[in-house]
Amino acid sequence: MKSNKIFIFWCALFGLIVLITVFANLFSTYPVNEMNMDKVYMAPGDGHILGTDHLGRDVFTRLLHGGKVTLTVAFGSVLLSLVIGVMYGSVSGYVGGWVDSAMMRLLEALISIPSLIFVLAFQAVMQGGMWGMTFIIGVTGWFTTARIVRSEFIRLKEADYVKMARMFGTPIWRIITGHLLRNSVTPLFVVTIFNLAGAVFIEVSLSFLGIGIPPSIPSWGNMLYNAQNDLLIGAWWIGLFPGLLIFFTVLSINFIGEMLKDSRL
Amino acid sequence: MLKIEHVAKRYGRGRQRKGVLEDINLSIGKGDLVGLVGESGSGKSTLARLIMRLETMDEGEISFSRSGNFYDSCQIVFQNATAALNPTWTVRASLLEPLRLMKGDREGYIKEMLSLVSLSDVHLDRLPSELSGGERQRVNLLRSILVKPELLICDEIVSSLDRLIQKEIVELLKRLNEEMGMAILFISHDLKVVNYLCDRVYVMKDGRIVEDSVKQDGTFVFSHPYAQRLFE
Ligand SMILES: Nc1ncnc2c1ncn2[C@@H]1O[C@H](COP(=O)(O)OP(=O)(O)O)[C@@H](O)[C@H]1O
Ligand SMILES: [Mg+2]
Repeated sequence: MKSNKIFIFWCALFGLIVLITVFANLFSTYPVNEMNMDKVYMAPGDGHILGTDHLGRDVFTRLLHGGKVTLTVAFGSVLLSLVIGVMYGSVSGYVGGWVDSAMMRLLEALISIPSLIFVLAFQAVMQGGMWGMTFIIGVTGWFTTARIVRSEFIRLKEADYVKMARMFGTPIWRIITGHLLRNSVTPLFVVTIFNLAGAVFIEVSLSFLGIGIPPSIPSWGNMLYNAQNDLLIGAWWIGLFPGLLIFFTVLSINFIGEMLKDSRL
Repeated sequence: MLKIEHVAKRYGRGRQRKGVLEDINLSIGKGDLVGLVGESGSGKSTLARLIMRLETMDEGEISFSRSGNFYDSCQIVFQNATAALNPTWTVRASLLEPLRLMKGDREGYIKEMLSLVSLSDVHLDRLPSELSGGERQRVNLLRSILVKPELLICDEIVSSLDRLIQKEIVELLKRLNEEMGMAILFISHDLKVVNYLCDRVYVMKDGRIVEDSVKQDGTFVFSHPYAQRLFE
């Protein structure tokens, strides 16, 4: 099947990106922060396959390490929002009634506040590093997850097998995990994939604006931030390669999500 | 054992409020084989849900003369076996669910009971989607009788199956009744099966029980024209 091959292609591409960033130490050709003032703004070529930046640091090496930071933040925050979203949605959907109404009202209120405001507020209070960033993206990213869990629960709790479970005296936690969550895995997985793409994008945007990860830690967003000035003097490689990687990462995650959505739901 | 008196049930609110059950009287004694027939929409499933305490009634009373946990002595088998089994659980997991509190060899007990519904060990590791419709309904039925209830309600459990499997399941119900003394309320719109299985039958129409009859010399005799037409 044609679409199957395309799916495998995007999975492989994303897998490759994850792999080279996770094992950044193995693949990188220079120490991350090694500066070499004799070799600033070197174009891609001998010794530095993707060139060097304004401090003579190897772009390829920083790209790998930056990816590790960006993807760690993305995966960590998605995990956090998955946990929060599942708990919130489970309570709302399972309990129902006025509890559900109140919780959904609150959720709508939270959604209506632009997440940039949350981020700025958090940053002002916490002065976050990498984990602060993960936390912020996590606690502002669970809304869709909670909604999906809630609607799945409302649909599934009327199922005959859940009625049977109640009659058999199955404990509530077991009904929630074994029956309700277990049968929500597919939509939950899909929304989590999209959240992952969103998280990468948020880290990059915030760092690009200078309100994300501190400049001392390399991340794809920070590299783009630094590249703004370099572009003016013609050093295109410093911005292009992180840009391309971000583009393909977000694209591959989105394609994977789209295809899962179409094929299994 | 089960006594239903003047039960009424209405759905909806305000002007849309509509009576689904009206003045239902019905009783089932220990080891009885009772049929409940009526066209679809006459309120049979609603009555079953009321008996099972899944919903509350608006009027009347249902008493069940067994102490202890109600669901240990009264169980139901739903019509749609596919919907009654968690699609992500294996047959083994589904069958273990009602036995959560049982002491001793639960697996052994399940294996022993499997043969009762002509299934075997190989089915235990399958998912519902890997079973045929008949097998699924037998798993569904087996799960409900594992706790050895004294009353089993079967809501159209053979209606969507082909004749051969229907017969097998009906024979099984008969055996359960004879060997374990399990009372059965057999809800159906298939009069042939009811005629064969039950000793007593209630005829339902538009939420009311219009007639009940006890089998004599292998047939039911009715006086109400609707029941007569139904059993023609
Ligand atoms: N939850 C409900 N809300 C509103 N109406 C219902 C509900 N359940 C059943 N009904 C109505 O009650 C009537 C009887 O339904 P049911 O008990 O399923 O009949 P049967 O099992 O005999 O086919 C139908 O007209 C149905 O539309
Ligand atoms: Mg029905």
